[in-house]
Amino acid sequence: MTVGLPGTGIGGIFYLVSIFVMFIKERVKKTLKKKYHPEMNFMYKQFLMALGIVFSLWLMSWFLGVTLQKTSGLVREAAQLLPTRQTPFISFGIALFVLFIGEMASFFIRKK
Amino acid sequence: MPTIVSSKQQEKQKIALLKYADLTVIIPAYNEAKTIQDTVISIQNQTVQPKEILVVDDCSSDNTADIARALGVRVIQAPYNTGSKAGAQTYALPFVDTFYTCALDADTTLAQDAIEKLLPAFQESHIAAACGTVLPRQVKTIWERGRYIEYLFAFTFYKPIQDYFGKPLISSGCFSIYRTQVLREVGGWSNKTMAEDMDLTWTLYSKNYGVRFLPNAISYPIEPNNFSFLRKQLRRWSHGFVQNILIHWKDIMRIPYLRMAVIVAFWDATVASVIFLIAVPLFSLLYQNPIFLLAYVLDAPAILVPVLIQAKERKEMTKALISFPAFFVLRIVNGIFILQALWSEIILKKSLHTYEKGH
Repeated sequence: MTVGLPGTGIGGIFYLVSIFVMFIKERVKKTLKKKYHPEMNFMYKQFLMALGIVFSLWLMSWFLGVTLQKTSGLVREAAQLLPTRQTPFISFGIALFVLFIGEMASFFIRKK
Repeated sequence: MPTIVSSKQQEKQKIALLKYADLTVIIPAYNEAKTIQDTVISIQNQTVQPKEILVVDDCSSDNTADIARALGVRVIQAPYNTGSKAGAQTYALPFVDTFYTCALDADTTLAQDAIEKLLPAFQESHIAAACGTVLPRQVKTIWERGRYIEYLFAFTFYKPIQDYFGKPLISSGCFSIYRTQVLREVGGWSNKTMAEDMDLTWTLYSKNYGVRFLPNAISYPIEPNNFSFLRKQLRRWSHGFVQNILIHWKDIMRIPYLRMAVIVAFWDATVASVIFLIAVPLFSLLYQNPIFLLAYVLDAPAILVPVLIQAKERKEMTKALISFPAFFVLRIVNGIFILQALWSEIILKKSLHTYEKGH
């Protein structure tokens, strides 16, 4: 089952960050242990996919920014309200904030 | 020169050489005459056969039981309609005498090697459940196409990374294998929520058991092909999600990674739904400009990346590209149902407990 709105909301950002964390962990493991880790192929595939997602998000932001700049009148005025360049940072910030609140709540619950 | 084989590799080889697994497949069925034959045959054609196939006839009014018996499988009839899939499955549990139990929906078929691909998950002794990739059996209507993209996305992007961190969010109810002893320990599948698969998965985590996702074990359920069917399914899933959060939130908060995955899922289900369904249309109306509607498809290229990766592996690029726009329609509908579920379960305190499958 899937619920809610699967996509690249803060859930998507969370999983992107998870992939990058996973990649770094496995690279460090491989470097330290100096032996083939069977999950490395999986890591590379997920990492490349994550890079592809980040690149496509950047591409979409850039494309929107360029397209909306070329419009005029009310559309251009409305477009200037849209934070196309800041959106990824805003989304990342919201994701961090939500996770921080969640971790704080978890900390207090575990303390009880 | 003798080859030294580790015990893990020996176990792998043992499972690989198995023709029969110490496994019972439970198929709960209520009026599934149209689909039960395909389901049973897909089990009988598995590369690794279960020891027993057990169809639970939940007092069907059609000839589900007769069709199943004609296929040579054991059919048990519940003494009264249990009212849900969870009820039927739990009713069958005392009849199981194998080490592993598989729960399989009566409208779900399996890839020929699905059981073979899933069993190696249990090489680790703390693993209590394992699940695989789910893909719609038919992809024709807008709803099936939307679900197809949703699954390609989730099972390529979210699920593998959840598995890496040891916390697949749900062991899919349509096809999962469990250690029978652990199932009995937790009392089988509960009727407390509308999403018994999520309830069972989170219960297993709370008792320090593990769950695995193995992407090559593929199952094909019949997904809703019309809005009436879809509505009932989304109602169950949405209410089930909220019910499980209300029941399990304290346990979840103690489990690293799982708590973060659930928090972001809950945020996206609530806040993102409000933004999509209320804020975006409101801004468009206030500013008399449809430009804000771009928010609905802003992440389209990002969603396309994992979808096309999986579609390419499956040689289904054309199907994926044609189906892609349907995802955005289904996403809006998902949002409507989750908001309705949140309102009903949390604000009105009206909990849904009537199980309606829809077909």
